[in-house]
Amino acid sequence: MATHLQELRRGTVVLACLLVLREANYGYALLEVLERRGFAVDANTLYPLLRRLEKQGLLVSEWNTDESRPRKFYRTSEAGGVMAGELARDWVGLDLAFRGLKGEL
Amino acid sequence: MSALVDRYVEAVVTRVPKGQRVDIERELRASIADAVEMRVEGGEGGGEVEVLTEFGDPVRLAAGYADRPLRLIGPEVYLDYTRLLTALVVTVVPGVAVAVGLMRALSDKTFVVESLTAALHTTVHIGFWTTLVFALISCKPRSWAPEKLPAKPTRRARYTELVTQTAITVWFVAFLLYAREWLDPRFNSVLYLFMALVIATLGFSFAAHYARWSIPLAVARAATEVACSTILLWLASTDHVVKAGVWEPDLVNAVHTGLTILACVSYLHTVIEGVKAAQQR
Repeated sequence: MATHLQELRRGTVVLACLLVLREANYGYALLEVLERRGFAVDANTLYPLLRRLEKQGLLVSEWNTDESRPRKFYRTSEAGGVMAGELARDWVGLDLAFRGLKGEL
Repeated sequence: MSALVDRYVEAVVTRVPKGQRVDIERELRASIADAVEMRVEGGEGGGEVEVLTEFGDPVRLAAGYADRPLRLIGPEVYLDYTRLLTALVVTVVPGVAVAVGLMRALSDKTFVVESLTAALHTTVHIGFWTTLVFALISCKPRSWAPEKLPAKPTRRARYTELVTQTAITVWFVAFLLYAREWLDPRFNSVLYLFMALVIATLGFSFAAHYARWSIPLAVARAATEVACSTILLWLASTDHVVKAGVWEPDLVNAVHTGLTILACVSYLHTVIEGVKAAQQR
């Protein structure tokens, strides 16, 4: 069961990140936001994921050294916004398709 | 930052590419500190140990950062790898053991130890080189499309051909190395070059099997094959394969004639294969 849930949720974290990070935020705070909004994700999955998305140009990052602890802030790039739109549309499509399968439509 | 966090961060950053280390370390330290702080503020108790446990095995985290697979041989070549390794160990090792044993027994030496040592050396070499070649094939991501499916003969048949060629090459090279003292000085002087060419030919066969066919590859393959045959032909036609006085002159003549024919057949094979490959594309 746990494995299937994990498999199902894997891609949704990417979309959730791209949506949350339309407002710049740093790793740990993002982890908290995601959890509060119902996207449970492990730290050791999220941090490498942020770097991968940055490498792919979907996120941009900037070090903020204003506070006592320097933090790396990520923000969704233009390309990331476009990607988020596409992924979100796909998600709606999938939801519709599932409802069709369950006979709700 | 405690020594425990230092050790954790160290364990992660030593496993990621050098260029990213500073940045990853800085971010990771901040993230761990944030998590610890939040635990303390939230009154959840515990601290670094719990946070680090949540972050999990540093090796896995580093693999995530480095974005690379935690394996040497990929699934796409794993079966080929085990098949080749098994085939080589099963065919070449006993062959080398028996041949070395016989050679030593003939010259009145203790043959059991020699034969076992040769078998062990051969096994280690086969294991190492096979793994190295497949690890290299594995690092390159492969794209695939249905039109890449081979025409007849099937891939399985061609793979069997490849395994056979590999077994023969390894066997041949091992034999040359163990029979060095019987070879003519002129052959010995080019022995390593010759063996390198023979092994390169095998390398090109692997490349032809796993990489896309390309003109440079085909030309290089044909060139090494021709070079091998030429060296063999040159040695055989000038009677410089076997050291004088080891075998009966008649036998030596027969060996030279045999090798000359072999070299000619090999030339012919190179040409036919080249033409066939060019026609198929």
